[in-house]
Parts: sequence; structure tokens; C-alpha cells
Amino acid sequence: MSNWDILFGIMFAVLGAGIFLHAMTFPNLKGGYPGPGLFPQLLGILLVLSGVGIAINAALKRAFPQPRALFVPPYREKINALLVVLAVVLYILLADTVGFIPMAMLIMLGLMWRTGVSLRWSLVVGIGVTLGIYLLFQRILHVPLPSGILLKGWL
Amino acid sequence: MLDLILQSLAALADPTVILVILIAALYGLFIGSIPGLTVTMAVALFVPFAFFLDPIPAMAAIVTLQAMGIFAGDIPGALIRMPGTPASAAYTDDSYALSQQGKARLVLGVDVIASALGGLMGAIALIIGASALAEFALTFSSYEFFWLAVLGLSSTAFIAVASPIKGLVAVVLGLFLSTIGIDITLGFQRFTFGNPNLMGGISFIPAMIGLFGVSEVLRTMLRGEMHLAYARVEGGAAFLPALREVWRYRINALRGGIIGLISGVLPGAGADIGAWLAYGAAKRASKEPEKFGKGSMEAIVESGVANNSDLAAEWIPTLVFGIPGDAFTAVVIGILMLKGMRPGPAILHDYTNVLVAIYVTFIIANLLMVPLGFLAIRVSSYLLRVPRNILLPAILMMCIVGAYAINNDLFDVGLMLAMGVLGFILEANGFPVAPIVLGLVLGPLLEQSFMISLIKSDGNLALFVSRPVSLILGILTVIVWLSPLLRHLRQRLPTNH
Repeated sequence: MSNWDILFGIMFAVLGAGIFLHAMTFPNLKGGYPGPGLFPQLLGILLVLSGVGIAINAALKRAFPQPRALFVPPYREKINALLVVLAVVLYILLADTVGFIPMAMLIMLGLMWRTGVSLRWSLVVGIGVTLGIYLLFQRILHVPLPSGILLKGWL
Repeated sequence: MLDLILQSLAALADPTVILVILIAALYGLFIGSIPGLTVTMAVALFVPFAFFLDPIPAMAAIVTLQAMGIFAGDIPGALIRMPGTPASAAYTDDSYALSQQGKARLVLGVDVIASALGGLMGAIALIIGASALAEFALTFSSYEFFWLAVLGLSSTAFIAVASPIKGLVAVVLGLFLSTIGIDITLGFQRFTFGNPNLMGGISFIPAMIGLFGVSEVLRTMLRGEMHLAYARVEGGAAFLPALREVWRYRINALRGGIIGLISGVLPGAGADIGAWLAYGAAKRASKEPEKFGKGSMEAIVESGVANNSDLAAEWIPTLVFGIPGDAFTAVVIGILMLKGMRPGPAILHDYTNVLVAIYVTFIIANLLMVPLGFLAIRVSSYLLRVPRNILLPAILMMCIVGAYAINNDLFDVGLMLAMGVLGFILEANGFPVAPIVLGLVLGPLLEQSFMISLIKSDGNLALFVSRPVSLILGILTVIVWLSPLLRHLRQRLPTNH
């Protein structure tokens, strides 16, 4: 894992340097007082220092390899986690066109099918939770959930 | 004071408030008793609802859900050796060992009573401590608030984390996220890169739902254990024998309560740390230390009281200074701000009614815990049987809708996803996530008090420590900063000789 730490350390140091340099371009207050750039600049410096610290620490540790029991998730579970991310991305892209109700059912049924829930339970939970959220948010809390083009005017 | 209590009782007696408290109690019991789903996640998912509620029901619900959730974490610990929340981890082995000896009913009964007792002790400390500290804190200037924020953030970064330097990165990351958006001094856009969605800053609610909800869904998906072991308590928990047991270890209960209070008031130590500290103290004081880890009732009483008194005490610095002790209270600050209530010493005068309602709810919730807790234990075998592959997709949908509901904006759903993936990746690589939220919440306070102090002192940094309280806070901060180094040296010493 220390290889990853080196990478993370460098990434954070670069991010810190970027924050620092970008914050240098911020304006100052009148009379030479520090302005909105000072605080981010200090944060940038801290991030560079701690990032370099992590990288050096990890590089030193790598010289003395330590056994470490790592949990490596199986292939199938990795895909499942990716599908969760994909589901949210699809929701963002399609919710306005397809609408909340079909999207929510699609996402939940898809994920439950993937993780081996029986069809009967998938349908019960998928439809039940979708309608529950719809009633709670749209009807009680008056949050305008995306209605979609198809069902527009119906709900 | 008395008429205030009566007033807040009247406010709480509103049917809507009672309904909200009951729902929050059941919700807290449910999430708390499912291993892997934390109370922090429960509150993150609740925030969108709190947003639509009035301040009193919103805060009452959060108090109730926290108390119930931390207790409920004990249930799966005793039954299947998996703590429902990290706060129950300290004595999971003892609870499980006793359950295996056929004492599950007794252990769970003790858990309920110890939790309620701890919660009540914490509530009393909160009521007394908050008003006393607030009087004192009214004299604070920007210097003191600067140091308080630094101290709070440093504690979460450096104390009780595996790698302090990674904790520091997490805090700085959170602080950086808080600087995104229009700056208040000049109205200058920082780090928005022309994106209008970022002008108002990183929305706290979607960020938090991502960090605690989405990342949890990802983690559980990856772990892949969808069905938990099956366990059952015949006939529910035993009340009178449990009460006798707690009375037998009353000294432990008292000490656990006090330890919980202290760790709760200190920033950076959440209920889990309180429970571990109490566990250690119980072991040192015990006549039978060999039983610890193999089924010690003393341990269960002492740390069971400690984690609940801790969580009530955490509200003291949260409300009085606006400095949260852990991720949960950071969320509380976020909600208070959403409701237009700025935590700090003035809150006691400005929002006395809400505060007294919080106090009263703490007492009601902990009294309510006894009957509801016993009920939860009765149905716990069903709760544990709910497969997680049915729960996770529903939780994901709640995350999506919750993040969307505040601004009705799909951009926030994207922000939630980004923060969820970020939180997941960071946590998988040993970076703590709670300091990010604290940084995000405390960032504006820290920056503001820093800039005001700096301009006031005309760049003379010595003025930052010129007042007695600010000097003490500064010294405490330095001690916290040095603590990882000292710990490191102490670990190194024996091997060098």
C-alpha cells in the first residue's frame, strides 16, 4: 500500500502547490492588508508539506517491506461498486428526461438483480421504496422531483 | 428557567413533534442495529428532512436518533459479534461471550439501562455545562475563537487517528473546500473557475451525504457480505435482573459516565473513544481483569454508560463554541446554520427556546429508550435478517433524493457522488473522513476569526496569545500538535534500548 501512499502524497502536494499559486492571483484589501488569498495560500502550504511528508514516509517504509493483510475484493463486488457510481451518473444525465419514478425503479431493480435479490423482493422493494420516496418528498415536503418528459402532466 | 421548561414541554407536546421524535427513535434503532450503517450516516440521510422541519422538531429528532442509534449498536455486537456502530466496538467481545453463555437477555437489558443512564448523566452535564460555559465564552474575542477552531480541527486530525499526517491532509482538504465560492470580504470568486454552481460554495448537505452515505454504500457493496449471521433472543431482554446487574456495578456506571463526559467535552474524541477509555479504566480498577474480553459485565456497564454520556457531552462545545467534537456534531452545526442559528455563546440568549427543547428532548429520549430499546431487542432477530442487498439500493436512492432536495439541482447529486467517491478512496487508503466534514463546517469560522484577528493586530502575531484564555488555548493546540511526535517517540524508545 505504500506505493499508493507515495502517489497520494505527491498528488496532494501538487494540489497544494496549485491552490497556493492560484490563490496568489487573488486581490488584496486596501492598505496592503491581506485579502481573500491569504487563507487558501496557507492551506496550500500545509497541503504541500503534509503531502511531501506522506510521500517521504511511504518511501522510507517501502525500504523495509512490511507484511500487510489486505482485503482484495473479488471481481464481481468491484463491478457492483462501479455500478453504484454508474447508477448515480445515469441518474444525473437522464433524470430530467426520463423522470424520477422510472429512474429510481430502474436503479434499484438493477442493483438488486445484480446482487442476487429474488425478482419478487426486487419488485416489492423497488416499487415500494420509489413510491414511498415520491410521496414523502414530492407530496409531503413539496420537493419537485424530476417528472420527465413521458409522465409529464400525469404526476 | 421553570417556565422555559414548561414552554418547551408544551412545544414538544405538539403531535407533529411527538410523531417526529418517535419516527427518529425507530429510525435510529434500525440503522444503529445494522452493522456497517453508522449513526453518522443516519443523520446525514436525515438532514434533508431536518431542512424542512421547524428548528425544535428538527433538533429533537436528531437528539433522539443519536441516542437510540448509539444504544442500538450494542445489539448486533452481543448477538453476532459485529458492533452496529463504532461506539459499541470496545465491549463487543464481552457482550458476545456472555451471549454465548446464554446470557443474551441479561446483556442486552444491561445495555439498554446503561445507555439510558449514560444519556441522562450526559443530559444533566449538558444543561449545567452549557449555561456555565456560555457565560464565560461571552468574553471571547476573535483570538479565542480562532484558537478554539484550530484546537478542534487539530484534535480531530491528530488524536485517535491511525496516521496524524493523513488526518492533517483531511482537515486541510475540508478547509480548502470551504473556501470555494464567493469570498465574504471582497465578493471575489475563489476556485469557482467560472462555474455558477460553485459560486455559493460547496453545499454542505450533498457533501456530507456523499462522504457518509454514498461511500458507505460503496464500501458495503465491495465487501459483499449481504446476509448477516442469524441470531435470536428468546423472549426479549430481562429488565429487573439487568437493573440489579447495573446496580451491582454502580461504581463502574458512575466512573464510565464521568469518563464519557470528559471525552465528550474534549474535541476530537467521539463516543467510540469514550467507550474505549472507560473500558481501559474498568479493566485497571477491576478485581477480575482476566475476564475482560471474555465476558466481563463490569466492562459492559462502564463503557455502555460512557458512550452515551459522551454523545450528550459532545453537544456542549458544539453549542457553546460552535466547535464540534466529531462528525455527528459537525452535522449538527451544519443543521443549526441551515436553520439560521449560529452556534456560539450567544445561542443561549438568542435561541433559548430551541436550546431548552434540546435539553428536554435529551431527557425524554433517554427515558423513551428503555421501553423502545426493549422493543428493539425483541424484534432484533428480524432487523438482523434484513439482507443488505435490499437495503443498499434503497439507501442509495435516499442519498440521491436527499442531496437533490435542498436546492432542487442535479449538480448537487454530482457533488454528492464526487464526495462519496473521494471519501471512499481516501478511507480505503487510511485517510480519515470525519476531519473533512469538520474542516468544511469550521472553515468559514476559522478563516473569519483569523482574518479579523490579523487585521486587528496589524500583523503582530504576538497579540494572538496576549489574552490569558487565548494563550491557554494556544498552548493546548501546540500540545495536540506535538502529541503524535510524543506518541511516536514513546513507541520507539523500548526498541532502541
